[in-house]
Amino acid sequence: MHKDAIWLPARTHKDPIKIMDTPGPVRLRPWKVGNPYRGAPDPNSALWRSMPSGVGLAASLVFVGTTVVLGHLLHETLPPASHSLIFLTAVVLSAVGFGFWAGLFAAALAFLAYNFFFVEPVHTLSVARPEDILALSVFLLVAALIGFLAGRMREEAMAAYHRAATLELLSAFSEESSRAEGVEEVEAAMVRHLRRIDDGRVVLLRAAHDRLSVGQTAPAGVALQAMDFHAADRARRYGAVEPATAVGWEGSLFSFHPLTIGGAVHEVIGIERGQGGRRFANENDRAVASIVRQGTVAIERLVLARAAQEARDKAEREALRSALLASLSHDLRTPLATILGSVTSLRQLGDTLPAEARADLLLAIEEETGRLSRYVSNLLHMTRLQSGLDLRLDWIDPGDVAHGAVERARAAYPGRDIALRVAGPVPLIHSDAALLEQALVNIIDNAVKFSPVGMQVAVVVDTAEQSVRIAVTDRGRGIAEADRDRIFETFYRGGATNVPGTGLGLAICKGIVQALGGSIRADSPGQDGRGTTVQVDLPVPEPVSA
Amino acid sequence: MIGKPLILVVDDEPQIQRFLRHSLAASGYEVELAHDAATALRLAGARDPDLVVLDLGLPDRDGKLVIGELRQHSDVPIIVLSAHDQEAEKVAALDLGANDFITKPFGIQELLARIRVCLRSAKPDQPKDGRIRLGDIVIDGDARRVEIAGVPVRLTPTEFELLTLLAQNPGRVLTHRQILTKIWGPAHVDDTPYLRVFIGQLRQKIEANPSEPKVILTEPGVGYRTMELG
Repeated sequence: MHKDAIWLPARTHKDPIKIMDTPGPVRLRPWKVGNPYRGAPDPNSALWRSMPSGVGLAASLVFVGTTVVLGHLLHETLPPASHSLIFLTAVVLSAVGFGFWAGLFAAALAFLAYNFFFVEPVHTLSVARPEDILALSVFLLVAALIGFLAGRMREEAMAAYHRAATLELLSAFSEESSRAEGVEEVEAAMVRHLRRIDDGRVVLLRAAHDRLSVGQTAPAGVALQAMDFHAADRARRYGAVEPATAVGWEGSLFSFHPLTIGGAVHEVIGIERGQGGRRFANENDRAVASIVRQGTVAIERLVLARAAQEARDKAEREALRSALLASLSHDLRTPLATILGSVTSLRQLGDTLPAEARADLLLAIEEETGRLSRYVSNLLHMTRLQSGLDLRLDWIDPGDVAHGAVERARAAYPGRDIALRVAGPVPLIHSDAALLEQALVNIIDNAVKFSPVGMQVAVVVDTAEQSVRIAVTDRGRGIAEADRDRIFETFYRGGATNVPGTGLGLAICKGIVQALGGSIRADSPGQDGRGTTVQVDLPVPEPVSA
Repeated sequence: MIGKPLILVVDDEPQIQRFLRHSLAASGYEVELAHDAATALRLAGARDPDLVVLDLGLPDRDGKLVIGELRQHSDVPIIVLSAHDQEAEKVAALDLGANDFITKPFGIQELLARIRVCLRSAKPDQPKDGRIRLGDIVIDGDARRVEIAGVPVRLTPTEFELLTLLAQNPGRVLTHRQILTKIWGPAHVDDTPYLRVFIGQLRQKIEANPSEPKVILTEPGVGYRTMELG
């Protein structure tokens, strides 16, 4: 809650609190809270400045009439001086119950009735005794005083209700805006709460590139006139509140408040002059100012948080890029060193090398070029992933793609046992074959590298609920639970310094699988109780009839 | 064809030219080299090669345009060299009339196999008895019967036509579009799901292990290729 939101009520109010029809936690309904003035449901009628109401005058008439009757009945038993006290009671009741004018009316009436019925000479309006003149004067004075006090009390109660409701509204907004996770949420809360203050229409305009565009409005779909736009634009240009034009003058119906963030107007919010007129105008203006200020703070917080996040992301991307370059130069250099070394050995020493050594060097060259080629294609796919990825979607047979990946892995690791099983007919999926194959190659590559030679790596393609599941199970040492999600992080290598690799493979996998609308997870121990199973689930769209 | 077959190699990379020149010459081919599209077209007209190995990335012109120009007056087999990540390029080249493709980097044994297939299909040597053989599989086009190692296999008419089409082009890639146009008609060129479903069914019937097909191979993103004959 903002400190400035507490203030003293102005005392020149004339208008009732609006009873809003807006649903929500804050409802300005003073009469539900408890009304000290029984029989006066309309607060307008009893204010001391307000005109006397028919009800008040009639009630005064009844009170004074009753007093006259009572006075006659008690005429014999009560001393004459107490008559004036009974009349005074009627005046007090009228003033307290119906306000200043009713009290004054009752006083005048009581003055006349008392004079007419009880003051000698009776049944005339002339006054013989000086003490009667005093009694009549007291009537008038007391009536005026009580009416004035009652009216003021009532008015203060009204102001207190209004203030309480406003404070409640402001606190609700404050809570909502500090909880908001997006600028739009804050905007929506602002528009909604501003609308509740005085029931005027509210319109929010976003400022971008020196132009305003209408955002949220309450009620929905508020259309601005040219005059309103002009005023809103002035608020934007000068960064100052542009008040609504006075009633009866040509101009904007809305007061426009700029929301200034980082020295620039971020948006402009317009509040229509409410139906309430001048009654709580000052208080409402303060409430509006408070909401605008709090909203600005909330939006600023979110905008800054977003900027900070963007800066962090950028730094992360930069870090990734430089780490990638470092890793790349290493990963490209290693096979190149092997190739160059082998080739130069063959050229220089070719004749002196035994035949099997030559064959071995040649095999090394072939294997290392294969490795280089895999790095490059991984890099290509990663570039595609980073540049927003243009998916080349087509209907593909997941078993077919898995087979392609298995074949590639077998070619890369000729000695290893890589088994493929396609369980029954698997539905076609709408996906990118090349990317999916790359993802599977990376998973198989990982499984082969992290499991002992001679242990099988099993690839199983199966159908799950509304998805195709491709699981790669190895018989390695498994992955500790804490690391199971981290293995999909870029450059995370699970402390595997003895295994060659970039730490990119599974991160690329995850990127690909997510881009294809699927999910990837690692379970350890794997499906046969040992090692690790990496499982890719890809969605199956509506069945295609062939 | 008298003497050594002539192969025109069109590639702007001197190192690729170098290794192709040596290895193709050693494999019994005569080699002509071109480093750009203009030279390639000039040499193709002057020397009438038996086969063209064409890189799609040429300095002076898109390699695909070269295919179009060659096809205007020649049926010379064309093998396209392309980078790994360019399925769309490969498909476009094949649909323009290239006979096959090979992805860089490649081993020379792969290229030699493709060259053999292309040179052979340029002079069909299938027996004239109306039967097509594909390993163990014998397709009798007249009787519309298929046998695997002497055991008859029941195929639907579409499966039969699909198998026949693939078997008529042994070792050669056929794009999805080419197959769909031939079997289902030009209106269905984009109905790859049909094709995948029928290929799946066909594999269930003719492959020893349908998960790991050996007869009908998938060229990811491009099409299908039957196994190469001996």
